[in-house]
Parts: sequence; C-alpha cells; structure tokens
Amino acid sequence: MHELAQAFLSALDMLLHFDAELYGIIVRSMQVSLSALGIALLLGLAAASALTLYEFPGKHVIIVLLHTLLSLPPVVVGLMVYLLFSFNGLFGSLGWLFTPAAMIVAQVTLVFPIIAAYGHDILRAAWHEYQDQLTSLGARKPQSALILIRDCRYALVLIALGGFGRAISEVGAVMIVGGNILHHTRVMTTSITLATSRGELGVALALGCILLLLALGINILGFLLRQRSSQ
Amino acid sequence: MHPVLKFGVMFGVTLLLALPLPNFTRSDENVLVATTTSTENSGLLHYLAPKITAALGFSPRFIITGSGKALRLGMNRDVDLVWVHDEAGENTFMTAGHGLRREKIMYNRFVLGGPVADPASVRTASGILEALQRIQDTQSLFVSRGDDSGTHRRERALWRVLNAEHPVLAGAPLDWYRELGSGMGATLNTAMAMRAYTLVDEATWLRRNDQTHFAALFTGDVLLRNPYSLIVVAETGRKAATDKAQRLSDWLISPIGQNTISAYRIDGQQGFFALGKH
Repeated sequence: MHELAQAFLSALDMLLHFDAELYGIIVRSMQVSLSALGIALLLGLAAASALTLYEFPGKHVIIVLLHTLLSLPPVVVGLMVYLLFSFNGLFGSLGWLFTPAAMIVAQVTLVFPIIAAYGHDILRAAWHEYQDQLTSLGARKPQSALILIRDCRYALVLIALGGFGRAISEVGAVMIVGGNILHHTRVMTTSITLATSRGELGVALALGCILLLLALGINILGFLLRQRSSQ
Repeated sequence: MHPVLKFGVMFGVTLLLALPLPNFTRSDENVLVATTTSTENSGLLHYLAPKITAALGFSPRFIITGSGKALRLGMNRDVDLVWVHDEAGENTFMTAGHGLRREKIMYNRFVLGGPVADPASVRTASGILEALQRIQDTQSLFVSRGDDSGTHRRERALWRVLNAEHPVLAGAPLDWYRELGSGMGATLNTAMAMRAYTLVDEATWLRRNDQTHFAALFTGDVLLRNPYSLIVVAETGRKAATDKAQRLSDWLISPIGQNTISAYRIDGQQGFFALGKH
C-alpha cells in the first residue's frame, strides 16, 4: 500500500515539474489513441448500421466473427500490422512502420470490433422499437441509420469510452509497430514497459497513475457529454 | 446539429488531432537503429544521443529490443543499423548478405549476480564454468533471460561449453532453472526477488548495485567478455538513411566516438570499453 501511495505522489510530482519529455509522451498517447478511436468509430458505426439494417447471406457468421475479434490479443494485432507494413510487406512502401501512423492502424484494428459488435447490439434493439415508424415515414436506410445512431448516442458514448480504454491501455501492439522510439513513438504504455525493464518500478507505477488520471479525464468528459445530451 | 454534420465535425477533429504528430510517417531521412536493452538500460544511449546529434547534425531513432529481434529487424530491412552483441548471430547475418559492413565497436562484461548468502559458493569458483557447475550441483535457483537476447545466447553458450547436451539447453523442466522471457532489468528484479543467481551485463548491474542482499558474486573470466558490433543493413532502398547509418558508424568507431563511449561512467565506474580500430 505504501508503494502505491508513493507512486501516486511521485506521479503528481512528475506532472508538476512540467518535464517536456513526459508531456510529449502524454500528448502522443492521446493523439494516437483518440485518432484511432475516431477512425474506429466511423468504420465501426458504419458496420454496425449495415448489420442492423441490411439482410445478407453470412451475416450471422460476420457477427460471430466480430465478437470473436473482441478477444484478439494486442500482440497478435501488432504482429499482423508489423508484417503488413514491414519492408517486404504489402504496404511496406508506405514507410509507416515505426511511426504513429502504424500505431493508429493497430489500435483501430483493436477498437473497431468493440464499436461494431456492441454498437450493433444497441442499434438492433433500437431498430426493433422504431422499425415500423421509420418505415412508414419512408426513411431510407442510410437515413434510418443516422436517426438510430443519434437516438442511441448515450449508449454509444459508453462504448466509445470502452474502445478508448482498450486503445490507450494496450502495449503489445504499439510496442511492435511503433518501436518505442524516444520523442517519436514512445507512449504511456511503452514507457511503463521500458521503466519496468530498467527496474525502475516506482517510475513505472507513477506513469501508470498518470495514465489512469488521463483516462479519468476522458471519462469525466464522456460523462458530461451524456449528462448534457440527456437533458 | 444534423447527424451528418456531427460526423463530419468528429472526423475533422480526429484529423486535426493526428496532424500535429511530428513525422507522422517516416521519411528516408530518419535513421533507425535497432539495439539491445543493455545499451538502453545501462544509460549509454541516453548519454550518447545528444553527443551524436551535436557531432553529426541528425538524431538517430533507437528501437530497443533483444539482439535476436534486432537482427531480425535488420534481416527484414526494417531498420538501417543494427547494434547488437551476439557473435554467432552476427556472423550468420553477414554471411547471408544482410549487412554492408560490420564494425566491432565496444565490449562490456557479464557478471554473475546472486544472493549475498551465496548458497552455491560461486565467489570462490576458479572460472565462470565452475561457478555454473556449482549452481547446478547445489540446485540453487538460476534465472535466465529466456528471450533470445545476446545475454541469453551467451548464457546458453556457457552451459553448452559445460555440457553439449545440458538439460538447460533442451528446455526440460528443471526445479532450479527458471526461464523468464524478459528484458535485462526485469530479469534482474526477478532474480533479486527470488534470491536467484543470474547472468547480467555489468553496465546494467552498475546502475542497480545499491542492493543489500544481492551482489555481483563472480566477475573477471575472459569468457564473460561481451563484444558489441555495429552492422549497416544492406539493400534497404533508403539511400539517405543508409548514408547516415554509415556516418554514424564512422563516428562511433572514430577516436572521438570511441573515447566518448569509454568516458561513460556509471556510479564512477566504466561501463563500456572501446574496441574499434583506432
């Protein structure tokens, strides 16, 4: 217990010292994970809407596969993205390996199934409720999708927060495709891993506290957003 | 707000967030160096980086990993320079034509760390092989990196000299031998917590030798020398980066670079010893 309190205090101490490197790492973490969340939200909600509103062969297989992808280990995603963006990989010529771009791709891959699978559950429930009404109004399917998403926004914000949590907290994928390069691809989680490997357990724990504080900030924002939209 | 508009705003904000990322993607100008946890965990990289930038006018990007993976990244042409310690692996790498040039740059030393009580009495061993034999004979706990790093490969090589078919090499379950799969610092932590022996590079050890119940018990055998090489990766298709990798190698093996490496002190002690041609 003493170590935890100590870590929390040194986390505050690090934050108050305005260490440029630490703040760079915090900003980079947020940029990578928020970008990934944004892209995954667009793709995931599109997929969730399509699964809700359209009937096509193999739909159930896709739904089961999406739910299976929720168990995808980040390290495996990292390896797949690494192979795709490696020099001899399919997208090797883009030169994205060991850059934030590759990290975003990896995190999108991790967050997309969360948004698509859980988003589909929520939209489907709403669709059951509104189907007759929307059909009688003559709404076309893309229009209905936007109305459903709008109506379910509280629940969807929760899912987005879950997706953000997955993105900001994973280390396996960003370590492999980002390379943990100082000033370029080092983020909170890879810093924690590095500090642990150096044997600096106190620093690692303090960085963990900072990561939790960031997540707290994002979740307060999410909460306020829900509060406001429910009024 | 119209939902489509809302989506547009969200996407716009996302892009804005991503844009200010410096060097969002890689250009051929950036030199990528794959190196080992020991150069990082010992503090050498942190010490060298600003000196390299001052001397050469560019900042290499270091990817810190085990020697095995570093060589693998070089083999896949994903980095421009490899800075490792694994002689056998380096030889294979060069023979296969993955390297343009290889330079012996420096060495440090391994030490055998363990609990101060020293249940296997390795302190009085005449050599590292005898020390390891004593650990095995007394079934004292030994922690291995187990991550195919240069340190791990060296440790396996030592067991192999002791016995070509040592049970440790086959990965057979042994009560006294624990294989971790972790970096140097983490392995050292584990060894300390388990009161186990472990092979650790001296530079990493010197950063951590503030312990009361754990000590470097055996040092000084010539078999514990740990030479590092620089290899410029061939045929990466990134000419500008390869040129910079060449210049970085030139500087590191030049008298100035070599003196800079030798001048690095950890707690007042020399961590690395120059090995270049000058």
